[in-house]
Amino acid sequence: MESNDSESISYNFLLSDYSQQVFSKLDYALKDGVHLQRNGSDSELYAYLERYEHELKPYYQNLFGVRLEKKGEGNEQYYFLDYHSAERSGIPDTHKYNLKNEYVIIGLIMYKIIYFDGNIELNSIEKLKQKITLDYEEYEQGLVKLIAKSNDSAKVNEDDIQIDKEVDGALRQFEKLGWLYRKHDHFELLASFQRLLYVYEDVIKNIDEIIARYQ
Amino acid sequence: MDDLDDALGNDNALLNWFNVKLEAYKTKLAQQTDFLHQQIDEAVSQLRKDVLDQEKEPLELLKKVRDDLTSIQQKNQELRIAFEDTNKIDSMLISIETENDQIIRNIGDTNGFFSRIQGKLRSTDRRLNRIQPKIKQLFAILRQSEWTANTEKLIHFLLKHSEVKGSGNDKELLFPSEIKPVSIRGTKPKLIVFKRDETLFPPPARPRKNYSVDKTFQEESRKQIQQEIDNFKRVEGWINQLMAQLQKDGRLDASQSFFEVMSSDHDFATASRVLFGLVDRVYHEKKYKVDISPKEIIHQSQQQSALWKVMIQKV
Repeated sequence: MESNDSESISYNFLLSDYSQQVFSKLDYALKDGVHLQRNGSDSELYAYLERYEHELKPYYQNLFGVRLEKKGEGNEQYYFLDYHSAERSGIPDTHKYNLKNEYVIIGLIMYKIIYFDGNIELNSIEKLKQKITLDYEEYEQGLVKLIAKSNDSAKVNEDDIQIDKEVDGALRQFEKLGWLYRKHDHFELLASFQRLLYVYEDVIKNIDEIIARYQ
Repeated sequence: MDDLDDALGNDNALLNWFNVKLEAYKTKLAQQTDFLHQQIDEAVSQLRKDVLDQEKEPLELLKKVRDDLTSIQQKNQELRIAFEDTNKIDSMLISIETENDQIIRNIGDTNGFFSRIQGKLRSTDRRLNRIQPKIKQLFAILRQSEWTANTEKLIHFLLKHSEVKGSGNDKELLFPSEIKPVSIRGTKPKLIVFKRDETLFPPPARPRKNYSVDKTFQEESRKQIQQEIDNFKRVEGWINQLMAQLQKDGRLDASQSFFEVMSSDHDFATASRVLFGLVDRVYHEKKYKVDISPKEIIHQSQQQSALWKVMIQKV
């Protein structure tokens, strides 16, 4: 459905009883950056999205200039409002809220540990912290400099404490985004955690060229 | 289960079933559940080894993962069947009506065992449910080895070329210029809320409630208090008078004084208070001696009371 085809666009879904019960909750969640999926914390919102997807997409695109996206396959599908793709969303950078860069790095390292290195049963926050601070020597220098923000080249105990704090902060933020489920020491990545890599899809494809420019 | 069906209604046959058939079944079930857990452990650990093995071809790796996945799914199925059997046996045992203590104990033990096994099966089930979506995602990732390698390069690139600007609490981590931060939502609208200042517009004072005076009650209370004061004065008067008498005579028979007060005032309470007040006043004074004789009982014919003789003497 093209956005300029005004005759075929209908927002009648807003008048339904279902919308009266669910829409405001959904709208607040999506605009808060929450990713919604079948096995997430709010299956009611996911069911509503599936039902009105074809009308909600033009609604957000035409009235707010932001795309309602659906990614993933089968049971792993998830919805979100794409505030990241500036050229597509039409929202100025000054009106966007960014994920802390520290959390992006921690998220990418979590992705590597769990998927690339096959730790598919890693569900303990404490064990995750131990892995990040102890098991990956190749990241140590970068983590001390950027996450612990220390000027010293050698790692000290304080740096580990600071890194652990940032990991906690990242997990809290990812939970708010609906990327993972968390309770006490237990965490579980949800389907939408994949979004972190999709955001950098173009960068990942062209990383060799980018690195070459920094040599 | 057919054996159990046959044994129902016959206590000896039931006991035999518990001791022979069920024991064997329980051992087998416990071994199976332990073995399944162990197999999943092995499958997951094999998966991890395969993923880390750089020398294996991606296709070979993919096939191994697929086989592992199928095997885990089969194990899942086996678990569900085991589940159903224990549920059926459980419901058959619950319906048994017997007064045989040994059978009742066996039913209790078996219920406990099944509930432990079922708890273990459920936890294995949940474990498989958690693993399966990740294995699917792993499939997608392993199909693109270049994607994996490039993502790892991105992590190294970010760690090497990002910079921390600012100082103290205002330190900010900046990515290299070609890498945009992740925008997750729009800025939230600022909602202006008008709040009435309670101190500017205080609520009107509530009318004060008037309580009317109950004159009768007031008069009764006044009389009671006056009575108490009069009693106190009366007792004090008596004590002062008796003390004067003691000063004059050098000795005083306090028990006689008690009866004097009784015959004058006709009030036991006043007479008692006078006697105790008098003794209390002189007891700790060195210039008086109080002599109480339990053997001498003083009483007067017109009075019902009797008391020990109490003599007070000036020393």
